[in-house]
Amino acid sequence: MPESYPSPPALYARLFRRLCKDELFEEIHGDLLEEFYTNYEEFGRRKARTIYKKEIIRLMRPSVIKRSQKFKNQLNNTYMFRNYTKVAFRSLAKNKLFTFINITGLAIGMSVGLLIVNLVFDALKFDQFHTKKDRIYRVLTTPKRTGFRWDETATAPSLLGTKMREELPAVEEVVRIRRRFSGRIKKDDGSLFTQGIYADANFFNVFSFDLTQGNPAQALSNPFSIVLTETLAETLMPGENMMGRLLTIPERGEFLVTGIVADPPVHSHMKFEAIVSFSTVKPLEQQGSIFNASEDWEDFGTSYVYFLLQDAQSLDRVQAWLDKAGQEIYEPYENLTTTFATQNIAAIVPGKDLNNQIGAELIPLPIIILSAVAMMIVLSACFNYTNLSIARAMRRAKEIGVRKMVGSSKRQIFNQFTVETVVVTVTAVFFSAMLFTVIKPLFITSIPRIDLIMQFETPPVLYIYFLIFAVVIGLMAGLFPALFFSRIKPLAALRSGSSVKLFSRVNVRKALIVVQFSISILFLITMNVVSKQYRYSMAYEMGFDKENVLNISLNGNDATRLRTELEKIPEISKISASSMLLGTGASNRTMLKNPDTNDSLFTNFISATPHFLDLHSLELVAGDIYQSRQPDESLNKMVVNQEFVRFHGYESPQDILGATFYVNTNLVTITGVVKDFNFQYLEEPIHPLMIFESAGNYSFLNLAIQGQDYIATLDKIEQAWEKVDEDAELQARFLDAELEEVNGFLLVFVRVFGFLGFIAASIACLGLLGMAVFNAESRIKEIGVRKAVGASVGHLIYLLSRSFIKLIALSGIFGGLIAYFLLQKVILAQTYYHVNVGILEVLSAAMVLFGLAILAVGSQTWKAARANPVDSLRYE
Amino acid sequence: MKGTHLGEFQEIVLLTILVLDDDAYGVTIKREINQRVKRSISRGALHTALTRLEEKGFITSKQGETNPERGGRPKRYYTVSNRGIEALQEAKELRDQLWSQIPKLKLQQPYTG
Repeated sequence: MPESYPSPPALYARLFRRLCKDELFEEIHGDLLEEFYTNYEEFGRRKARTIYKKEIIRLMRPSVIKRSQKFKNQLNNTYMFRNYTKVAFRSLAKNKLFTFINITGLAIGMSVGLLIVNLVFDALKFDQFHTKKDRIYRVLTTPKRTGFRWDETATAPSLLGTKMREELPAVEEVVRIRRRFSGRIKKDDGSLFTQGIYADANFFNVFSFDLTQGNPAQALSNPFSIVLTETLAETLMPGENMMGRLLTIPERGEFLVTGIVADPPVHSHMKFEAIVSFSTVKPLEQQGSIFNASEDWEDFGTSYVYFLLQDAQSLDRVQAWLDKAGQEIYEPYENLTTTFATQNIAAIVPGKDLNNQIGAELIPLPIIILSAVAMMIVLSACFNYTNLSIARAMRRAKEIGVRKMVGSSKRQIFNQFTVETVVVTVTAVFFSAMLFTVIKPLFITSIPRIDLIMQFETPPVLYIYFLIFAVVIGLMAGLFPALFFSRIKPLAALRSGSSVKLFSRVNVRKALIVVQFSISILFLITMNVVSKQYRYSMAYEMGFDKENVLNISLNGNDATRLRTELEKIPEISKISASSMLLGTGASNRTMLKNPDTNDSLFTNFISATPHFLDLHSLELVAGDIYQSRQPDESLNKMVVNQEFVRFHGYESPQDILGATFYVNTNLVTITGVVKDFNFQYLEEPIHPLMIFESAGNYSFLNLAIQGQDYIATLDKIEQAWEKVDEDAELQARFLDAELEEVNGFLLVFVRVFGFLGFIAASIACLGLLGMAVFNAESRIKEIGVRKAVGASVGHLIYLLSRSFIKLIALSGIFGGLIAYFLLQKVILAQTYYHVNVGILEVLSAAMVLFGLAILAVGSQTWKAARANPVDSLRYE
Repeated sequence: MKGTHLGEFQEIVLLTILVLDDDAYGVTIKREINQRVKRSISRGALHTALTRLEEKGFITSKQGETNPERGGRPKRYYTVSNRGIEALQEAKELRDQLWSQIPKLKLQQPYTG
């Protein structure tokens, strides 16, 4: 009974029906079915089905599978491809100049592309080494205080971590991390300054840092346990095992080494030299050696809360809990609400711009800009190829006409030109790989400190990507010409004299040239404007004296002791201690409360000894400077700036003298008003500022140096430093040098864009050169006739270069406009004190490019215009 | 010699068809080879061999009767052509010749040194 026969696997049967040649299907499938039924009876359903499936798969061979209609027309594919390659090489060899221009342009463009691909590849590697990276998140906090700018911070109150651990089952582990562990570890000969983090005991369970010695579960559980990195252990005691040793850190205590961890990888957003157990925080806070923060819901700046999700889906539940917790916890606080968010560990770098980052920071914007720029340059090189190929159309039209007459299809012509392009790009990629090895080190050295966040490894797999990249580029560049050529009508191409028709695409070519030159001019203008901003920033009158002021980093040493030593040096005229350096972008803020209105808001402050003002030549407009405080006296006097006076609604500086404000809990009287100066970096406008004395808050000593012999003075300072701190190196820098470094990133910008501009311009000019050569050659007879009839050389040059000059002028206008809007509205707008895009920067960039273009076009035009008409007309 | 060369597997297939005589079609050929030669071949491999043999003119085929056991699909019976028989004989002769010219047959001592 045929009905009762079992059915074979339907999917496979259908697949086979679809793929098998019709004339074979009946026979083979009959055999298969017969066998299937036999097997069914012999071995049962499962085995029979398995055998059937295997048979079908093994039948997938060329002699059985149907050929599609498309394939039937190209039976001799491989031969044709061999032929295409041969023709490609011949035609490339015949047009050496075009080939040279194309390969050079593409190689230069692609080497920049490779560099950026490498860069992006590197940036995406951050924190990929954590095996649980899909489930590791951290809590971000946005404290919103009335009258204060809200910034999202990477830190969160450590109490939140504790609460989370107790109340939230969706979270498997919570790791609280506190930043800024620091201290000097005593060793046999002196001591060693070290920095690290405090972390909970489950740190090694969540993060995949490699603990080479010690028990990962136990290493950070007891108070006063410390885990050292291999480098730190090696520096402390070369060649010795540090495990189980007691380390003495003055003002902190005795620490037991419970583990050795491999140095954190370059691609870790978290960097440390040592990890101390989080349980150490409490005792340290109690003994007063670190800031008391762990019990404070208002502490938004010292700790991080990382957590490990049970499973990746439960994130919604965590967020809901955080929303609720944020509302409940901050309910009792006046003027303060807080929201929490989460961030996956892989999204930290590159990621959002947050305050209080634990380590490496990399916002995606520069990467996006660089990628876009690289894309533009690569595209520009592609345009050259496209342009020159189309320009050659006239010469090759006949070849294509003949091919078509003989019977080649559109597709075959398309293939032929695609193969030609791929040959060019693959050759170019080899040259670009060579160029890449040259520009990579140049690029790395031109950006200071990039090695801290970038490894710039080029793993072999990247070369495979490069090759794919090249082929894709090749297809992109070749697509348009290939389509164009394959559409040529054989009759039109073969009829003599009608090839002019082919130039209907001339507008596309012009547009491409305009785009290329606009890009080049954009880069050059950017370079000009940014270097103008650099000069402006350096010369900007900040309102304080930056000459001859030497700053010394205290590095935890006692300010008073060092000061008494330094006072003995006659070349030092004034000394002050301060919490920050002026104009470097650093800022300290604290709570200020108006006793009348009870309004409180965060305000910038500098804590400094009285001499700080006259040392920096800060001018007082009213009142007087506060006097040095007695040890038993609490903070009660301060000086404010004019902006502070305006902000708090006083008419004149005189009026505010004697007014009182609460700074934290101290009632402080204003004794003087200082003239406004840029205490922050030029990005920020001048904000209200308070200057007061608060001992123990000083990080720097500021020295005014007299006389010219800096080297001798520095020697003396160094001797004085050694009396106070025999281990650490003296860190002293002049304020103007410090400011120069702060502005250094602009120089990097100038260098990078100068380099890119140079590359874009040279690619564009190469293309232009090719077009000029082509133009002169194709009009050679016209020139001959004109010359024979009496045209002058000058007239001919004008005639030949007129269209190019127009195009470049047009790109000047386009590029200039784009640059203006991009720079003025986007880039420069980030800085409060900025220059404007001036006509000079635009013109000078345009002139440079114009000069280069004239050189490229002129050389060819000159040659063509001077040629003897007899040579070109001889054969007519 | 491309075109008329008789491969080892093809030779086995030819011989099997001869052995099966009137009943040589896909399933029986495959079963026979699986049993006698003790090697598991797929229908796909057999198909390739049969196609090659047919191309070389060593076998001919004709469509047979349908059968409900085959889902109503016809069988295709294969018979060895005269050229096929010639080719088999040639192959056998070549072997016999070679065998007869071996001076003295002995099994190699396993190498122990």
